[in-house]
Amino acid sequence: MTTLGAQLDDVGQLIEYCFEQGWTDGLPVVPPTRAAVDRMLAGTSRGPQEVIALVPPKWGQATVERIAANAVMAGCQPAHMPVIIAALDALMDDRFNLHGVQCTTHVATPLVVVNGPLAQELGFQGGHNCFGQGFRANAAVGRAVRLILSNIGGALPGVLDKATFGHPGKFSYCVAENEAASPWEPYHVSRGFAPTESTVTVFAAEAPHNINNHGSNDPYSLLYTVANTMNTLGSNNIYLGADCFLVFGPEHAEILARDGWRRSHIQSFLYEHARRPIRELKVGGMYGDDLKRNLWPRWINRDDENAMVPVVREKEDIQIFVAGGAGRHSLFIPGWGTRAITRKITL
Amino acid sequence: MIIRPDMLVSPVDESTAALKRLAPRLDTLNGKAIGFLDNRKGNGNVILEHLAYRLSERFQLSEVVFREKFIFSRPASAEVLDEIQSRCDAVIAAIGD
Repeated sequence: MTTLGAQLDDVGQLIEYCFEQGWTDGLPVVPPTRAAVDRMLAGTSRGPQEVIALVPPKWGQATVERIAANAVMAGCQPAHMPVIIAALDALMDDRFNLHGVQCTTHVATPLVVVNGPLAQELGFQGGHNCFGQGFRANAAVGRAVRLILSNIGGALPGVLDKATFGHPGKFSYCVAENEAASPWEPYHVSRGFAPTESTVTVFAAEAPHNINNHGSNDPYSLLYTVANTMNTLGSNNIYLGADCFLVFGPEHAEILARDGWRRSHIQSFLYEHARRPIRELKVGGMYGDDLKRNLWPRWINRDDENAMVPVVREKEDIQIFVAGGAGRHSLFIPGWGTRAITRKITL
Repeated sequence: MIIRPDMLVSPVDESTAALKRLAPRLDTLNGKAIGFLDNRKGNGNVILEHLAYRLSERFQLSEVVFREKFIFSRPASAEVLDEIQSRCDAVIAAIGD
């Protein structure tokens, strides 16, 4: 065997070793050699032993060095480290409830959304196929976050991660907003950050559900389709409230914006129209007909079977950003019953 | 190639791998105060109430303490946990689902 052949065989053995240790997501990982981890550590000014997070359910310490090891395994580049660190910091926010998300029977897993100048500089994709394969930053950063949650948090499938199904986002679930194609201010600006800042938003999310509307050319009929995709009986939002996400494709966003609709108008319309009556909701959901346990606003009369329950408790809980390429599609991404958290990326 | 662990930087916190020790088991339920902690999902309370009834038939429990979490997806409050710890000799938790 040639020297190169022997070296590649050694790499293969290291890859197998990582499988044997239970460090992977089922796919091969890049072996986290000392040299590779040191190169990854050069992507951040934080010290290797600094603890960024205590990751539930096992409360493992996510030191910068362990984060770098998982980032190497995921296929990241050193410049991705600040994004991963910011995402971890956001996941530690109590309103995200990572402990619950790590162990739940529900499909939810963190969705990572990148905004600001760094999104483009680091190659995050927000256009065509942005939720799919093909883009290293999206794939590797999303994967690094998931590997950290499994390896350092200890939430392994069937052991402490009790997800009935999981969903493919548990391999990687990371996108950028398509800020160039958005007719509105960037999502992170709507959350109070400066346009010159770059941010990461994390959200415990189902897989995206497509909203196919090729026929509408006005906001009302378009959003009618959106509302009737959002008000599903099977998602958590209509029983537990908190945030949910709408991702408008650029063509749908244009239909809304050219008539002067802003985020607040869209939220108002959907808050009014994305509803279901109690007589339907009590068939299933979290508590069936034990209605007092649902986390509905107190102004919902639980004794009125015709009362219309909104999919969120407050209209501002409908989070909106623009992504994707050409095509008359948008996405509804239901949540688990917790909040989207946004953090600034610091280099 | 013989692989040694020090060839790679571990991506896990090895200290979490150690098994936690179980608390000592009670030798009897007679004369004991038993807590019943409902996670507040559907039917958790049903299971626990029935269990408390059946245990009370078989044992002389000194006290039965029912408590519930505010919401199933979060830990029980410190107040609930403190009360159970101070009043009860053992606790049974139900994950109604």
